[in-house]
Amino acid sequence: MNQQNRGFLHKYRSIVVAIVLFVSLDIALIAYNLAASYTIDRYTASRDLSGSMRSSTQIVLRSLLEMQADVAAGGTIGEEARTTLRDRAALIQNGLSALREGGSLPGDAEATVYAAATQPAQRAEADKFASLWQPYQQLLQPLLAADVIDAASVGAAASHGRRINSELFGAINRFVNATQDLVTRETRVLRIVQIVGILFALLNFLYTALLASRRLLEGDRAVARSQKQTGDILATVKEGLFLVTPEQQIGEQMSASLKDVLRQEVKPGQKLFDLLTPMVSAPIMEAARDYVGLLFGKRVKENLVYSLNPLSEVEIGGDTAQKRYLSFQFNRVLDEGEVSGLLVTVQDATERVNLQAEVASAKSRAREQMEVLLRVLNNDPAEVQDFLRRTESSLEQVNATLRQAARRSGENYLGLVNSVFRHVHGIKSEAAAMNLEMFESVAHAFELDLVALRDRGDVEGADMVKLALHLDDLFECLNSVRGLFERLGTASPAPASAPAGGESSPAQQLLASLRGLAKRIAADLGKEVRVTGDMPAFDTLPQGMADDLRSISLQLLRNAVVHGIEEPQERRQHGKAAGGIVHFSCRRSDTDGIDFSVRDDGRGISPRRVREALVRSQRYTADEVAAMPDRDVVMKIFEPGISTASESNRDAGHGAGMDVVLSRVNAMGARIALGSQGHSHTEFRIRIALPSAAAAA
Amino acid sequence: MKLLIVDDSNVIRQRIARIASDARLPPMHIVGQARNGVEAVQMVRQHDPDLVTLDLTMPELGGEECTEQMIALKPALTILVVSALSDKATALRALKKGAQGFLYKPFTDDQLVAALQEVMLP
Repeated sequence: MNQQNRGFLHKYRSIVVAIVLFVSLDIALIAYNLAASYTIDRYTASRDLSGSMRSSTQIVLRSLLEMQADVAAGGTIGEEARTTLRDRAALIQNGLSALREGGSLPGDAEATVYAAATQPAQRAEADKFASLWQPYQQLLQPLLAADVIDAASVGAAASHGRRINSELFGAINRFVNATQDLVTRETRVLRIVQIVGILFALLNFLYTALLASRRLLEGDRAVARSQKQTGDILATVKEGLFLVTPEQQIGEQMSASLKDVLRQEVKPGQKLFDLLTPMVSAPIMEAARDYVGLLFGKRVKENLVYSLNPLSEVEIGGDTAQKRYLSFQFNRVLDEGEVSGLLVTVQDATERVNLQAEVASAKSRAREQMEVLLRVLNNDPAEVQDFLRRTESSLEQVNATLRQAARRSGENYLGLVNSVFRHVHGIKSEAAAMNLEMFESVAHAFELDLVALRDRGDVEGADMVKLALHLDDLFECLNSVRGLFERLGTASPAPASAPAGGESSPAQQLLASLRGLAKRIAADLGKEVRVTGDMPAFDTLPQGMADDLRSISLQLLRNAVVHGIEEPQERRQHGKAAGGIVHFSCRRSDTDGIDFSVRDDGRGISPRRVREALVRSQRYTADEVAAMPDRDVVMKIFEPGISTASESNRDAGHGAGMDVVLSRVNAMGARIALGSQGHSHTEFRIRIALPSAAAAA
Repeated sequence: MKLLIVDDSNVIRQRIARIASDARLPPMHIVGQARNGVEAVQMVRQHDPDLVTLDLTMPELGGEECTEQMIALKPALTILVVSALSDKATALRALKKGAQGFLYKPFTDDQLVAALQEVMLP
């Protein structure tokens, strides 16, 4: 017996008991009815037989008297009287036996069964009757057997009969009455039993009906109660809940929140994947079909595939403002061990995802702050301060440029983009030199957008507004580092242009930065580079000029390491040492100016590669490029957007670096010259005319 | 319980073998350690294991095809995919071929024990 049947029996036990009782009562009643009817039938038969015997005693006596009269008249006795006498005497004789012992009369075709006389009143009367009948019957025998009947025999029998008639009749009559009483009594008992039985059956029926209807009512109430509770749950629960059938259709019941979470109506019977199609990409949809299919199958273990749910975090809505995440969780619904459906729980996971992103970002910020901390601890705080000051100044200029763009609508902003680019690139270079990855990555992202704008050509006012977001990021970086710096208690005023005694000079600081940057870029590229310097004049320069030269140095170093210095194997092939050298020089010139130079012992600038880059930039046709002399071609590296790097990364490839150099050189009112020889060297020489006041300072 | 360990990393194979002797698990008899899918299929044929832990990214025969061939040899085989895969779709395809469970690498000892217990449930 399974559990469901057991539950059914338990629930309806009282009704089952009542019905069993009802049927048993009916059967008992019918059985009693049959038995009682049989008894009554036999008593009735006995009553009728004794009645016949009662009349027969009178017929026997009348026949005797008739026979006596016939004999006295000398006539013959009629056969009819003799037959009547014989039949009646036989009836009485056989009847007496049947009444006393029970059973049937001999020769009775219908075999009527008579009840034995069991009651004392009956037995007494039957015995009395028998004792009177036996002698009477013996006197009758000769009359029945002889052909000729003598008057004496008839007379004797008739006079005996007359004498006992009253007693004989009385005995059998009382027997009849006693038997009739029995019939009456049995019939009454039967009737009472029947009435009581029917009453019981009726009560039982009423009880059963009441019980059944009460159970039905209780069942209905329970169903209504549980339906209401289910309804309450579905109406209140915040998650979107619904069931999916094995045909992958959405079930009838679903939570009220579902349409709010999904932001669309869901219809019962709708296909699950029709609902999902507009929300997810084709590959995720395919994986989701596999996942749902596996859950409907029996083979996989539900707990061991949760992590593979492709819908655990679904991105909805492309716009940043409306972007949100939904999470669909699937749980098997089992019915007697078989998967009858899946319960789908849909939640808006946007907050969770955003929180995760915030935590990741906070971790990253913490890591970056740690970087700055280490940087400050490992280096001169003044150097970091100096960087922050220069960066702030650059950002203010970018800010001014962007404001300018906002005011002057309608013009082509390409020039402004290039100007912003130079500042941002400068910040990136310095940040890289100081190993401040936070600044470097934000500046790099800014730079990528600027490159995209520059390459597109037609820049609009709206594009400039977007750039302001990057600017804000950089300002935030600046403030964050500055805040950290202040908390460290190292917020010393910006260093003066001349070094304080005992501390490292600006030239030493610059060389240290250059060595750090060279080391990082070289490590990234699998190269070996050494930075050397001879820069006595650098320490005497005014602040603005020192800043410009610093920026130029970083850019030229970057170019030298990325483009100039060869990989160790290539250098050996050309008979050079595996490690390259970049040498910085800053000296006072004969004409009271400053001679600044950067020289690397790398592969030199290849006019062929610059020509290729020029054609690639689409600013010059192949014919134009072919017509240029090598010298002019090489000088084109100072144009913005020209890069010989085959792919762009954070250190090269945007064609911005030389533009930065040139704009700084121009800003200083200096001149730049370039010398290069294949497989030998590249050297940039900058001659700065020093104002006499500055030179004296 | 006859266990076959399939992974191209010797370190991971040794680690799974060690965890398989955990007291919380039924006694395991390691019938083989395969370094790739081809070896795995051979060992299923030779040693008739009950349970397989299977890496998905392996040389020679990948996890998906390997699952298919092992299940073809022994349909009642229980397979727990243990993989560092970030691509859910590949793992789902292996499960479609007949594996019963999936565990991400890296895993802790307790995670593997729990996954083995779960995958062995009837």
